[in-house]
Amino acid sequence: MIGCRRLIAALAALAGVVASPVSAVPAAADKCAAPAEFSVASGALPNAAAAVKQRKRLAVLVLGTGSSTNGGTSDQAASYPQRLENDLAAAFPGITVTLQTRGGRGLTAADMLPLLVEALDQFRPDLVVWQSGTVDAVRGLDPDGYGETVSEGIEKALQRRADVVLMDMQFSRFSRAAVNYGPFRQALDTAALAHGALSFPRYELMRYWAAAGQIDVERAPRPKWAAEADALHACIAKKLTELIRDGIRQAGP
Amino acid sequence: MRALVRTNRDLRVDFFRGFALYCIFVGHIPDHVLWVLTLQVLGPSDSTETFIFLAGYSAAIAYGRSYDRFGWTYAATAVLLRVWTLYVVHIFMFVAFVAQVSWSATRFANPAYIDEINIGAFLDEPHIAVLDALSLRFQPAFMDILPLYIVVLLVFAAMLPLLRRPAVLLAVSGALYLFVRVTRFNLPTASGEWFFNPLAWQFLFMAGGAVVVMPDRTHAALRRAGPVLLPLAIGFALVGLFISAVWRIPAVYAALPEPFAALIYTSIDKSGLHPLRLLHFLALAYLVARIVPEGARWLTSWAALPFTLAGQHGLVVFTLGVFLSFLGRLVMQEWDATLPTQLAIAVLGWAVCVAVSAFQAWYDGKGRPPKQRPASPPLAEVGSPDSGAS
Repeated sequence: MIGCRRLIAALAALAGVVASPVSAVPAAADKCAAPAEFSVASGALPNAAAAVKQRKRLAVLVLGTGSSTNGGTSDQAASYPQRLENDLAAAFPGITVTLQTRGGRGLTAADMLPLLVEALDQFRPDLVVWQSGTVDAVRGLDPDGYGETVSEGIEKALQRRADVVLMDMQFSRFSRAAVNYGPFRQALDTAALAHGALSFPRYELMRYWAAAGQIDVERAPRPKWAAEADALHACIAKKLTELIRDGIRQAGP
Repeated sequence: MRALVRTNRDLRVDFFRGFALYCIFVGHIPDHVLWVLTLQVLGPSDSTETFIFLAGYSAAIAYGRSYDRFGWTYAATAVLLRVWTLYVVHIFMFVAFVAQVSWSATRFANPAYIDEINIGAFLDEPHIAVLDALSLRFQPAFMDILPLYIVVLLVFAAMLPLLRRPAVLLAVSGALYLFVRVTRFNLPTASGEWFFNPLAWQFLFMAGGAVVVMPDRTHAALRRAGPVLLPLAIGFALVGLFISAVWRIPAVYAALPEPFAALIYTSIDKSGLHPLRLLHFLALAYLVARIVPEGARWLTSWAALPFTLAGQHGLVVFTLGVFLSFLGRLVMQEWDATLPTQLAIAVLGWAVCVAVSAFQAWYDGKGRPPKQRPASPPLAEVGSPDSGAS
């Protein structure tokens, strides 16, 4: 589906070019504004839905690399996992939301797989948000092997009754020019489609926000780095919540 | 400009090679909007297949002639000189990459990009990185197609004598392809494996060569088989469009039974030249050969000329395109990636390729006695390896 997203993003960028002077004011009002396609679930989240509707609880595991565990925000509470916990609690009133974060800087998907298995057994999440790909692509590892590892992780999560949302790389102009993310994003989309996980298009969202002038961490002046990262993580949590809500809604009553 | 196009050859090959080179140029600029007008939208095969096949086709004409006249050593030397040019360009691209990364990484200290900063990790051990680059084991982003071409040409140099026996050429090359497909054998890089497995892709190159040297009776047999081959090729082209739709349009994917859609989505690898990619490309090539007559006038029309002319100077345009796509990525990194800029990158970049082709054609024309124009090899730069280095 990568091509489709690229097409949507290209059209959105085109619209942004044409409409930016007019839409500057509403854009300032909602920094997170983005086309709805980016937060529509391509399938249901049955395990998360069952947890919310029958057990009145939702346990979420966030597994990822540096951008998930220490994303340059002003403090840990401002990073997207912590915000996600709050946003989900607000989105599902009366539901107990618990969230744990695992992973760390510089971990490949293969490094994270044992962490995932361990967390699945110890924490027993209903939903896993797995962010990966940056480190594998930066190191130039094999995209096919990456896809196989992610697939294995999805299967292990599903066996233990946890749904999976896969999050791709951050957008930055420098890494776009110097790292070939294409095969890795393709592998991620492939793994998601083939094994029934959802994709959260962080790269395209960030690219859209940067093109529309809403959030641009890379071009922010140094004193504003942390504030811009805070805004980014708040919006990622918001869009992720929208995606998860949609996935739970699609699971039916 | 039309006078610079050589017409004593199959211009269809030139046009489509030029177009494939243009697609490779655009395709090496991530997020560039014009990918929707590249060959990849037609199905599983893309411009890489077209380029490698037509490179084999042209190489068989040029080096086949050298081989017939002067023998294996001479023809192999000519191939190796071309390999050397590509190798030097590869090292040049490595230096450009080092410059880009080391320059950008110093400003890339934002902790929000804590994982991305490792793009520059190879700079911590420059002695290792340089050795890996020299031995083609370091193939950073978008630097994988030059090494592919290099190794494929080395295999071709070894297989030159088989040009006289196309069936054996195809059998040996096909056996290597099958061996690689079955065993998944691939060359190593410092961090994994080659993205384009050259031992698989060589088959497409040799197939392009085999078309040139195939005996008349095979041509006749192919013509007789036309009533069967044509519907088959049309069928494969349609299957290709269908696969492309499954890959790119979520609604089409969702409309199919899950295991079937997932199979289409996951199983057609590019790295090892999946047989479906191969068949799709061969079907397209057959259809083009049937539909477009050899001397079609539109091939030298103003609209087609930028591709036909560039296609006649494959090596120059290929290496230039690799570098220009690097510059395009740099513009989108440092300056601006809006639609007007993207279009300007494509137009200006290709204009440079066409202009350099025009100068090359003019230069080659001057160096040749005016009356002895026929029988010149299709690749202008063959006889003068130094002219291909541009």
